[in-house]
Amino acid sequence: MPGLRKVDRLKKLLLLLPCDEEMEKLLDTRSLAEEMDDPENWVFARSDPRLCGPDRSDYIADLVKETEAQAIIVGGPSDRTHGSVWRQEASFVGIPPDRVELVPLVQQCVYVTDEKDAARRRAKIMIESALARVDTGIDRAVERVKAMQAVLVIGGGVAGMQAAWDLADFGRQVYLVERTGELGGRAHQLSRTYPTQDCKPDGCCPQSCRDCQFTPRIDLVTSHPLIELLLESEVKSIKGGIGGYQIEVHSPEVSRLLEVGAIVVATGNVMFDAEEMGELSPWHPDVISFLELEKLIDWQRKEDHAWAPLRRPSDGKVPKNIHFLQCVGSRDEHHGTIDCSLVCCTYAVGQAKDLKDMLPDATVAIHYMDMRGPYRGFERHYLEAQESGVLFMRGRVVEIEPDNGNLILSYEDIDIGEPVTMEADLVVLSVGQLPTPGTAELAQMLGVPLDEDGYIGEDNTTYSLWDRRGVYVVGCAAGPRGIRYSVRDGREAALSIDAVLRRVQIELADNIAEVDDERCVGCGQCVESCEYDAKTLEERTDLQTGRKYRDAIVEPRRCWGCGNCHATCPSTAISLSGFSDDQLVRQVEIASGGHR
Amino acid sequence: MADSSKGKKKKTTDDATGGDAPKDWNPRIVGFLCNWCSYTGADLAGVSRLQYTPEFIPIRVMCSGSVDVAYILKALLEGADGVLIGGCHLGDCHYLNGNYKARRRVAVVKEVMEGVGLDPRRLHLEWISASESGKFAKTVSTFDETLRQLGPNPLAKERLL
Repeated sequence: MPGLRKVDRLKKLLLLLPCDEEMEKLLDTRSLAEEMDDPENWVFARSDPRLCGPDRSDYIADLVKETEAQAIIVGGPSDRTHGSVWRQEASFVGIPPDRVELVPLVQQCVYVTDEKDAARRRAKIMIESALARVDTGIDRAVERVKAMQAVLVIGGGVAGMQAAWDLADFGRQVYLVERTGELGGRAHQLSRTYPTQDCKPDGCCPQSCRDCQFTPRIDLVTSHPLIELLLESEVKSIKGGIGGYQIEVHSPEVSRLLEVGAIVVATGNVMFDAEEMGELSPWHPDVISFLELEKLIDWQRKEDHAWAPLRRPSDGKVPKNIHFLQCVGSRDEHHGTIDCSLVCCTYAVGQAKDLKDMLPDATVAIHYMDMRGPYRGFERHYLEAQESGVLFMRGRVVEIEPDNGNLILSYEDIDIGEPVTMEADLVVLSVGQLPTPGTAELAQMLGVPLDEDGYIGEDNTTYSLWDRRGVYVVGCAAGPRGIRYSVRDGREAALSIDAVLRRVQIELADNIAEVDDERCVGCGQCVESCEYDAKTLEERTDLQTGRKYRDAIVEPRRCWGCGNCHATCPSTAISLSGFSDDQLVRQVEIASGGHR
Repeated sequence: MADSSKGKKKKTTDDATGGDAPKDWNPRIVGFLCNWCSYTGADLAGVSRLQYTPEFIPIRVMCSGSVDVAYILKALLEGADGVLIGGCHLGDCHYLNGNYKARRRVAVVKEVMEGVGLDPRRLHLEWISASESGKFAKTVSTFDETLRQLGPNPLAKERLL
């Protein structure tokens, strides 16, 4: 294979935008354009108000025709804000994205100093640097890969089910991998959801409540011919990249290799285990988490088919003093997570109100720090609970001590500012939510970063990495959220995936590492330095001499274009397109000594 | 500015020749700014009308970890008085850990610089996030001050010839 082909000198159209009036006072773009205009050296500089108006595209098309420009350099906006705008503009006149350069005169040049001359000198250096960049780039066609059309969904909770169901509805083959033996996730353990009533993902719902309308039914997912369910299965390895992932899945007794174009991560999160907070006596049978309370309520209902009174776990007595503790292992610097889990206030208020309805003579109290309900309808829900007689006590319970079959709560009531003790016979903990164990390993396999809380995190709305990677994180795998938002996440991911994979060929982004085979000695340092497993060493045989040798190869679908391999390579064989050695060396020369 | 020869002189090197500085000399700084944090921080600095030395010339790179050692040395040999590398904060790298790699490389280059008689303070690595425009401007200005104390780069090509 030949070395990387370098571009020849190009005809360059330099557009200096006179759009910022403030800037114009400090830097006269028109005279600068006149000065930089150098048709002999193939630099055609223009500054014209039409560049800022609605006829911009037409004007540029005329200019490109007139000058036969092969590259466009824009002086004014920064690449971070307007790069995509100008690359699109260039694509209208047939100029590829890697031949568009932006010089951030507004952001990084003119306002830096009060001295007009210095600003102008600096502008010229920055423009020259950009002109040199296009002349020294690597000539490369935009990489296109054929996309596999199937999709893998990891996790069968509400978010994963929704994504799988929608994708299958679009006619895609879906593999739904679930670690446990059943679908439904945590939402399936809830007897009902709040502020709405009587909801269960697979149940028959007498009321058409909001969560249910969005909640996919387990049997619909199970029976869909295009969804292949892999229960009790786990993802063992992930290779490849967008449009062509190879995934090894271990199911009971079999191991399979799946080929998919995109991956939905719907692995959920886990509840904080209160065991580590010994002061709350979490071992006591009457200190239970909200999910255990759900089970109690559910069991009572199923057993008696009526609103039978709830009985506490220790001795089966009907509780008279029920206390809810909010923020156990959440909003806490020492235990669990510092973050709010978003849903606990809503369900605690709902459960408390239900218990009060069930046991009108009982005292039902909620100990809280702040009442937080990120849902429309929460406020009404909260007021209804207050009206039904649920007590709201502000302050954090610091200790629970078992006493004579009952529990003594100690806390400081913030409203009266005094330490208080109180008796309870059933305590319900609203525990925080933490990332699922194994999230880090999964992120490593996918080559995506974790955020500071240990979640794979949310996508950037401006620069979607998910669309580029073909990896979509939905539901509680991206952080705590309610059912309806998880479901919406799943649907959103399905729509994005469908849009991305629908293009028969996927265009890969512009910065990708490329190896110059003539220079590569096969040392393997780039393979070690790559965080995304995008590089491998390939055994090759020299056809003329029969000698065996190794060369690094790049899997373009997995490359994120960071350029770390390029800085690592001792034989300068790797170039990052858009940031090649020639380009940067030229830029360094200009920046170091130009225009002294 | 001109009498910066009083500035701290490192014993191990024969750098700091501030006394030779021409009257209108301003330190030239080459800045490698990572696309995701420092370059955006620099954008914000301009938008916020923060001022710093106009002799700072930015070069956009995708990641601080992609700055080849050769570029740093090249800049110093070509006459830059200082090289600034701006990356994301540790743990915030857009590419998982490129900034750690940058940190290792910078440590190596500083050793090399000392070996050839350049003050390692001419190379500065700073973590500047996209929102830290103030930190960006301050970093450039402080670096500029340091370089004024150190004086012109003794290795600069034009002075060697």
